[in-house]
Amino acid sequence: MKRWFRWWGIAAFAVLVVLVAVGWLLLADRIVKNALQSAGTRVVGAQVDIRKADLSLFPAGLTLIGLQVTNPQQPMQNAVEAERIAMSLDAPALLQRKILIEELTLEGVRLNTPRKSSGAVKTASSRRDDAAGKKAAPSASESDLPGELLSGAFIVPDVGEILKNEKLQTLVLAESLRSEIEAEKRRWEQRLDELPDKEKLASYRSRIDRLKNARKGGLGSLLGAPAELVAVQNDLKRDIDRIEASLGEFEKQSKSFENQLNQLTKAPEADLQRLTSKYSLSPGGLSNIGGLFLKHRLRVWIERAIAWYQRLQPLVSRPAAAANGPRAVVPLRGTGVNIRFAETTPQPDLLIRRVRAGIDLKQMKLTGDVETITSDPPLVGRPLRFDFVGKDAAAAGSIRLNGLLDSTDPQRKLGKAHLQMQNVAIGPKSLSDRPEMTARLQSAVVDLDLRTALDEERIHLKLEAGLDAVRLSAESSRGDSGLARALSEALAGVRRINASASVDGTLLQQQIQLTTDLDRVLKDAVTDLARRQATELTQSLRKGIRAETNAPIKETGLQLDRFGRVGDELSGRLALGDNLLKGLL
Amino acid sequence: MIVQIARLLKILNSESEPGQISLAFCFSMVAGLTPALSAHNLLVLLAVLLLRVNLSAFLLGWLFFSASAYLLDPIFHRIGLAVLSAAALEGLWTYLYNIPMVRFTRFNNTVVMGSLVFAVAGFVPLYYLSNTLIFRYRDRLLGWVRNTRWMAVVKATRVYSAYERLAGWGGGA
Repeated sequence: MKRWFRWWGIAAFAVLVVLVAVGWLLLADRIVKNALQSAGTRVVGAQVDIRKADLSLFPAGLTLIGLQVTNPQQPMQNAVEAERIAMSLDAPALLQRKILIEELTLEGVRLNTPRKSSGAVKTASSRRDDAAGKKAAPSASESDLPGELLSGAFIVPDVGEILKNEKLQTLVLAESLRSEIEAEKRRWEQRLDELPDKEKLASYRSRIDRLKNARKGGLGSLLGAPAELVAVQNDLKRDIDRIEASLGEFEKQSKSFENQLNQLTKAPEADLQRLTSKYSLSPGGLSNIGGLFLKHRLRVWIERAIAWYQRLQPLVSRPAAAANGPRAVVPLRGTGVNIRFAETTPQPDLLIRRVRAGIDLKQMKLTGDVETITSDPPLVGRPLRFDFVGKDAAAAGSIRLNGLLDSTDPQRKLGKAHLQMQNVAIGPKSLSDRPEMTARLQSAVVDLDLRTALDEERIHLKLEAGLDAVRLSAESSRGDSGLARALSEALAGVRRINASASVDGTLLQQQIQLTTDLDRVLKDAVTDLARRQATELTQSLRKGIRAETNAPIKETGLQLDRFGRVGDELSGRLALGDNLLKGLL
Repeated sequence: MIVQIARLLKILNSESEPGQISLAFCFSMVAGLTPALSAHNLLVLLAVLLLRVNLSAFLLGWLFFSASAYLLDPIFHRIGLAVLSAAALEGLWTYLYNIPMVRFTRFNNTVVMGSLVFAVAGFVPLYYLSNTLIFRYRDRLLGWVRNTRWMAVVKATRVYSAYERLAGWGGGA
């Protein structure tokens, strides 16, 4: 035996195994922490930080301290922060690489907290975009609300600035017509060279004269003359026909250019109408300006909610494990592919049966449960449900949020949520942070009923809200038109807002219908001012457009005149040919 | 310190029969070609320490085969996929898949299975090939290597002297 075995090898093996196990135990917390941070960052698309992770083996469990999830849209803000997350793990399931959690407790959860450093992460695609100098398409929060409408409302637009930024269609048309005329002129000049010119026509006169002299000659000349005469006549007729056909074609072309020139002279008026409607605030446009403030805020909320849903959705809707036959999943370069086989007692890769959470809002604490978070809803056969309740003792206000997300049928995903708020005091909220006008809802007491439904990719939302004890503030920082002042004063005087909204569409695009009595208040305040401003703007714009377009239009007309000379030349040649033909007959 | 290094070298270079060196290469192929953290490598490590195989050869071979594995991963993936998808073996794999400890070994991973099948299949051929090459080396090249200048430099070191002394105490195979 000694010839084949070295018995001290068992001891060496035991020592090595113990060393590795101790090393793993010492580093396990750090390994788990780093793995969770990088997986979370990949899912969220922004930095996920964990201050400390504590993994215990007997009993199996994990506690995370100081979780921070960056808001990808605002990297200096955490979307969620949790003081402590504790969970017990099913150890035998871990051997099968499955995470089964009976209960997970979330303590000290806070939303939208500031970060000390940016949590933005550079993805490969964003790095490529940066290198290419590309800019991401603005979201609703970036592009902000009323846009050009507000530009018109709060700043008296500078005509010079408008004309510098806008491309006048008149100038585009004039430039295009001029180059077209120039090209046609060159083509006709070439064609003139190919057509019988005055010299050629003069040569007919010589031939005719020679024939006339021949008549006076002898008998031989007299016999050959008629045939020669017919030949000259045919040649001349052929040339006249060519000139006539070209003249007809030219006149058609010339007429078309004249029509275009005529349209060009009307183009400045079309430009004026376009720019006036773009840069002035019509009384009609004011009819929904109040809605625009709230609509913008609503769109931002919807965008954020959908973005989070889409980020987290892949974690809780992985297709069911193969019941029949092996199936390959997620190939990764260099790490192979895990083949899944049918399980005798199928279990999902991830199942959290219950999450108990306490969320600290500014005015109240929201507590509740989320049930059945799983990567394999069809296998578990139960939808994800959530129910949160919060009470504000001081203002007797309450919030309730409940709903479900049902992916148990792989063919159809359904979801619904219901948010009720009663007498809830809300703090400062920005409605617009555009430089033209900043508007803030300083405080209000809200009653709100919001219901959403999701059916596959289709979303439907219905909102009824009433805001009491409203304090709004607004100011225009860039320019101080009477219109901006009037709007600011009107907003400051608002004490109650009623709003109802419905949203229909897909996860990618939604139609928002919103009505609010804020519209009437603002419209009353600014209608006359808006009309006056629109008239002034129209006059100034007309003057400016004329100054810009007069010269190009005139130049185009002159060019068309020069083009007309081709027609004069053709007419001259035709008259000469006709005279010769008459003399011959 | 020198004595300790020499002792380590002595342990590493004991069991220097051609068969012991060849067996070390074969084990190193299994450990090197399969992913390092695979559970079956614990058995390989136990075998290497328990059986009288040459540890230097094992370490050297492990380095060589680990480096080669990166290039061979696509081939291992194909082999593993073919083996794990074979209809005739589906019952076996499904049975093993439902045993927690076996699933923990990641046998259902194409690279793990492919590299293991490749290494196991090559185990015996590599043993005989190595044996043949070692015999030929000792017959034809060893004398020349001993006379090279490089070998003279190595022999002049204190570590080598200490190693020689320890080897003379009766260690080795």
